[in-house]
Amino acid sequence: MILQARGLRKEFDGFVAVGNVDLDVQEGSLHAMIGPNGAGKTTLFNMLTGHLAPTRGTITFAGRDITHLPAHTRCMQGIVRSFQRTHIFPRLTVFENVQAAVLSRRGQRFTMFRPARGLYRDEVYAILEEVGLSERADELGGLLSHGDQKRLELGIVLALAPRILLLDEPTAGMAPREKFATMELITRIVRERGLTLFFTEHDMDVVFTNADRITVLHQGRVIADGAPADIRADQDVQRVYFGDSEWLWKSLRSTPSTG
Amino acid sequence: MANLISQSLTGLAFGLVLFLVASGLSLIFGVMRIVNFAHGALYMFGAYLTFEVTTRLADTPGKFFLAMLAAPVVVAVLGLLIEMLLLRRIYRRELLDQLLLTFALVFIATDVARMIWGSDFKSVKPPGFVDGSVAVLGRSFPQYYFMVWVIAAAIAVGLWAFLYKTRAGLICRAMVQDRQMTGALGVNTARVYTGMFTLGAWLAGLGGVLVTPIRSISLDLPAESIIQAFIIVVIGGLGSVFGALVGAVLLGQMNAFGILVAPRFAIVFPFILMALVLIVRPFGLFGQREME
Amino acid sequence: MARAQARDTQPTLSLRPTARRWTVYAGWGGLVVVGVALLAYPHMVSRFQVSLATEAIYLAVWALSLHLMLGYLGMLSFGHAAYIGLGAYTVALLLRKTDIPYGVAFLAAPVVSAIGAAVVGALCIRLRHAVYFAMLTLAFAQIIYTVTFQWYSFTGGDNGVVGFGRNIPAALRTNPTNLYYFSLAVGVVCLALIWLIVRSPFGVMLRTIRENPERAEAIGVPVQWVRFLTFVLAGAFAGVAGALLATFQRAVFPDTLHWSRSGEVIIMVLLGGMDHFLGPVVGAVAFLLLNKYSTEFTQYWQLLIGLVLLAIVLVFRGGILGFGEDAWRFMARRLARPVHGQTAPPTEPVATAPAREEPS
Repeated sequence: MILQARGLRKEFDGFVAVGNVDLDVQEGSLHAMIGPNGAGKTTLFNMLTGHLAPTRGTITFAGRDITHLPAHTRCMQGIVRSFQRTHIFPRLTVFENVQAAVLSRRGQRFTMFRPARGLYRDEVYAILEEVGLSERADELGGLLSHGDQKRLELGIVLALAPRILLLDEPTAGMAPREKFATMELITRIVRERGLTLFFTEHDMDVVFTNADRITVLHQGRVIADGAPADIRADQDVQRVYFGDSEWLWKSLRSTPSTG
Repeated sequence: MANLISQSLTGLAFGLVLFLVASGLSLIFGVMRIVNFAHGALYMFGAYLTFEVTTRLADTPGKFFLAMLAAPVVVAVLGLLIEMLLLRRIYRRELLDQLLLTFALVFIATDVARMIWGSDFKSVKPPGFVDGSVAVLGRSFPQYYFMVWVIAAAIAVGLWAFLYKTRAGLICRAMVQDRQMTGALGVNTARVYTGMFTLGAWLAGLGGVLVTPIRSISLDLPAESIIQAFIIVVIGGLGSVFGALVGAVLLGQMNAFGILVAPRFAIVFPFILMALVLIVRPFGLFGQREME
Repeated sequence: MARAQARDTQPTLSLRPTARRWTVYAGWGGLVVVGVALLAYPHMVSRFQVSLATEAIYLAVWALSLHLMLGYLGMLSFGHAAYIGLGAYTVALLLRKTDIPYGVAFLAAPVVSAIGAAVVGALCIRLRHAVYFAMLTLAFAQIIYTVTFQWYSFTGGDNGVVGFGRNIPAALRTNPTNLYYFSLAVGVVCLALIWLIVRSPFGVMLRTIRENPERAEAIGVPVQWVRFLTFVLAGAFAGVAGALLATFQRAVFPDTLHWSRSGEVIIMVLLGGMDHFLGPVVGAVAFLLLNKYSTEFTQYWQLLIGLVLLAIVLVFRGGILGFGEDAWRFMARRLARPVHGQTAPPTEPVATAPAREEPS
């Protein structure tokens, strides 16, 4: 297990957003977290990335307790996140966006008296190649299309030499073709580099196509955890998503599995 | 002892005047998320207009009350114009632009006041029926202060009633909590903004009117008042009228006692108070956590 | 949180890995020309204009120091007058009350300012919301101002610190041309240092924070530390400006620390153009000229400066240099079109490109 959470809990002024969650993410897996809106996915996610301090519980990464590690240090451990809405640096060029990440990873954050211009060029370009943005290196990040910005974000993430990728709704807002392409890119990179992927998603197609393990969250608690086929058949999950409608249960069971 | 109480009461009077200014500022920020530096300038205009009215109507009885009615309205109209002509154009901009716009207005307003009234100090006497003093615990105490308390208290109650008992007030409170959501519910946010800014301006103008018998009118008013008002609002929490009241009272007391304790450095105490509050509670005593 | 306007997405701050060759040569050439002009300046103009230039230099250094925070990091401080004031008073008081040589006093100025900035910064940086941060910096600046004003026995209060001029080396004291060259040298050194900082990896970190502090943190940037360090650096450079100010004026008064001065330096940065490296320099010069010559046609200086600021906020968002750049680009497009007989390469970027199709 590369990432583990035990008894994770988050309260906001008495409201329990996440209550007593245990999570086990296996190294090299493609692990998805799903659940209806308000289930606490984002809260849990933010605790894993260090943006929110848990009220209780622990988080362990590669054997190390990282529960109280600040967000910017977690990134150095190899835990790299991306955001639900595209969060790149709009007024920096594509090159600079990735270069910033490389510089940070290489510990060059406080270097003041060397020009940054040519540093790590090759490394940056290699990453841009991999996400398919090398031709747009000089364009400003804020002017890219949404899909390209997602790629750029992926590039930034890769530049940080992650061991585990935490992606928050990686295909949000994309057209189906784009979703397919993006997930293909992500999963290919993850498999090639032996990384672990942990992602939240709303799109069931994306989840069931790509994940090899799924955790279902509802009202801050885990109600199911296992392989996609098991989750698909799980009645609690279905009830949570679709209520008690038999018509919906039937149509869910009849969806062809492309896993 | 009597000295202390007298000082405290003086501080209360001045603090309550500032409450009027600060409450407007707080509401404007809470609802519109705009930091209105020009608020102090509006206060200044309220004061100068009072001077103008009372001087021109020198022999009319009740001139102060006429000023009290007229001046805030004029200032409110001024606020309305500012909102409609200038502020509307920068709502979508970054915070920096908004700060700078209202900052620019202070410069402009100060010189406009200078053009009209000159740079020397002006003063206004309290209205006839409260221009004497009353003996409080053996020390003489201006009657006018009682009038200030009464009016400020009435305004505080009025604001409370507005915010908690009217639909318009409910909308305002909703916008302080979550602007976007309120807009999504079909509220005409533009009109709320205009209304809020105008109300804030009216309050500032009234504050300016009330302060005239307490201290002299000068071109320094915008700077002094805005800093104090900000301190109050920051202490109390941006967007909270009750916080503004608490902050204003605290500030008034701090000023009053500061003068007793260390007269030369008394000016610094409010800043120290603000610094302390922010260090312990970065969003003020009653401030909202969620700031966009 | 990128601004949607096209102008804002074409800053010249960004490092362009592939600059066109002729712009590089033009850049160097321009630099040489400007350098020569600056060196020859005192011999071509009147004494008054030499001292005007000297004043412009320290204002430029002060504006550059604020720009480091404001332009690159996006932090608005309303109390920046405090640090130029601390620097100026350090030099003045050391020279007045002790036998410390001028050089040491000069170097002490940025140190004292940096310490002041460190203390204030440590308390203010914790406030993440821009308004609270701005107000607290103002508060501290006012505290420093009031202490300076009221601590009569130490700082001379309202009367300021005077009469320390005799401890300034005679060469600088008696000859405005020498003072000009000295200030120019110091100014150029500061400019070069800030240039290096901005171009360095640290500068990249600054800009990531400005663009998107959350993302910056997510790539491993210790945001609060960077902010703190920048605040201190800005204070230090302001201290240098203060030392120059003290040398120039040979008298230092509390009004140097007044909050309206803090407002003026913000205006300088905006007037020049917040998106350009040299914006603060241009802004400082423009502001100074406006200040000195406006009295010839109006006594309402504040009205003028208020209207200028209003114009910048509403219309000329990029300040002088931004306006110049837009005008240049506009002209370049107009000129390019008829000559080539085809549409000129777009100099305004296309707002959004359609989603790329990935070959399956």
